[in-house]
Amino acid sequence: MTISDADRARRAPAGDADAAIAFEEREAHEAGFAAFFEAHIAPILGNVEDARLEARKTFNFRLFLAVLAAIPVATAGILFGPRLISPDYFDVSLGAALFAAVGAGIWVNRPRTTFLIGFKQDVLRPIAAFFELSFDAKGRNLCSSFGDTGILHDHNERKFEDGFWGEYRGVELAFEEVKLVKVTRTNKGTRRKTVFDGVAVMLRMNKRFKGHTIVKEDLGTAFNWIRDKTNALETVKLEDPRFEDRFEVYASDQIEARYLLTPAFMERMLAVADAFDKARLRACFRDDRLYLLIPYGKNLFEAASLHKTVLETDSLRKVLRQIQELRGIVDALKLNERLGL
Amino acid sequence: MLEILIFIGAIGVLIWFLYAGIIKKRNKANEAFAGIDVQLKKRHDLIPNILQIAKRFMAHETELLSEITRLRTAAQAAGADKAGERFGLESALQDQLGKLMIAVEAYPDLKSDEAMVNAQRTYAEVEAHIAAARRFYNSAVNALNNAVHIWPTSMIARMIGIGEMPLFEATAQERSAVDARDHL
Repeated sequence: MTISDADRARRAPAGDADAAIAFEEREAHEAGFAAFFEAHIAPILGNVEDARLEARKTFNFRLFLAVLAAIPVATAGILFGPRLISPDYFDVSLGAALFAAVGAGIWVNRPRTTFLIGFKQDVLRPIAAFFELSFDAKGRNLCSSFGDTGILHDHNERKFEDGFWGEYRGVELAFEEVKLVKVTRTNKGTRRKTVFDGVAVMLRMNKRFKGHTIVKEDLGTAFNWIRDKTNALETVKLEDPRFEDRFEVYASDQIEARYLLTPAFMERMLAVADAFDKARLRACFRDDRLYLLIPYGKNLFEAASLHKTVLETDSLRKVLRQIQELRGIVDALKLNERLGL
Repeated sequence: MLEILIFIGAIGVLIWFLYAGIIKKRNKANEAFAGIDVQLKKRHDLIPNILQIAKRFMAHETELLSEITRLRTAAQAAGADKAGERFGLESALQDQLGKLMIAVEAYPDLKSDEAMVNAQRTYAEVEAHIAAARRFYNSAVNALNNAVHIWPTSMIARMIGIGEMPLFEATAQERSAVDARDHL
């Protein structure tokens, strides 16, 4: 993918800030990025830095106003509230105060979020293009295609951002950052529990499968037994003890599950899990696709901050590494090879 | 009296669970055998096509081609009741087919023949499926054989006439270490 003319036009001449920085290539996956950086990213960083400074100024001003307004309001509320507000209206008043506080928080934070989204569209999109991928900072709700895979955690709230998609070594791939939350309402209040925080990955394989095979994290003997009994798919016992220690496999077709999960492929899956800090990843083979859910525990693809200059390359280097790690799943699992998974 | 009845009932339930467990294991092993049978049939169906293509180019390999034909016929003739014998024949057949695929390398015309390239790709795919089916079969048979040999299920197995089943071992060729020089 190349950068469009419209994008180039938007990235007009550098602003006031000094954008004369260079990228130093240190790792194999960064090969060629120095020239790319000089041609496509360095020229716009000045404008981005100007936008950051402007956003920070607005943010600080709004924060000052919010604090200025909050102090007398809170003081008055504490001192005169109990006398002026009837106990019948106490809940309503408290709700209104919370609503106002949340609204103020969003208003104060707006310059920050606007800057970060703009940064991602202006800087991460070309970085994605360097890896021949497309990018959307808002994400594309990749998990919506995970519906019948059986690996999505039970949730009723989903947040997603930073969607990448394209092709690598002839393998179609897509990945994005996802957070799944289970919200339970009881008479004591609302409880929110994050059940998954990481990356969703979808890879199109060179084969079509007639069955349904899923790999889930090992829960220990007792919980595995309960899951076995409540699962519509059959449990598949594999030969690799290391793999069996960390994962449980369920499938509608025992032979196909073993055709997919050869001893070599099991090793490769362990290597992928190790590459992501021994992640308790989940995988599903369905139709011609491999779906993966990889818990990450860190905020991904965040190369900018309102309070830190963008005229440096370390944050970009981190993003490059994260994209390469995810793209590297294709290499690790050898999905580009036509025969012998 | 009630305690005796509860004790007998508990023993009955335990025996039923052990009996059900061993029957399930035998059925799973039979299902795995049926799965392997399907995959081996795919191999048998593919062999005539491979031999027909190979014969056009491999005039000096008639002995190897004849041996493959003989083993295929013998493996097809071996019934399900002679699983051990059949697995031996299938392993020998796989060895010979492996030799044939290596021999193809010495015939550049055959190696580049489109029909042979397709046949080799299909053969690799079929062998991958056979390997998967064999792993499932061996896993199911291993669970059954453990039950047949370990008390108290061994006692029940003997009473209802369930014996051990043969494993489908890897061929000598598969077991031998891969020598990278063969592929360079």
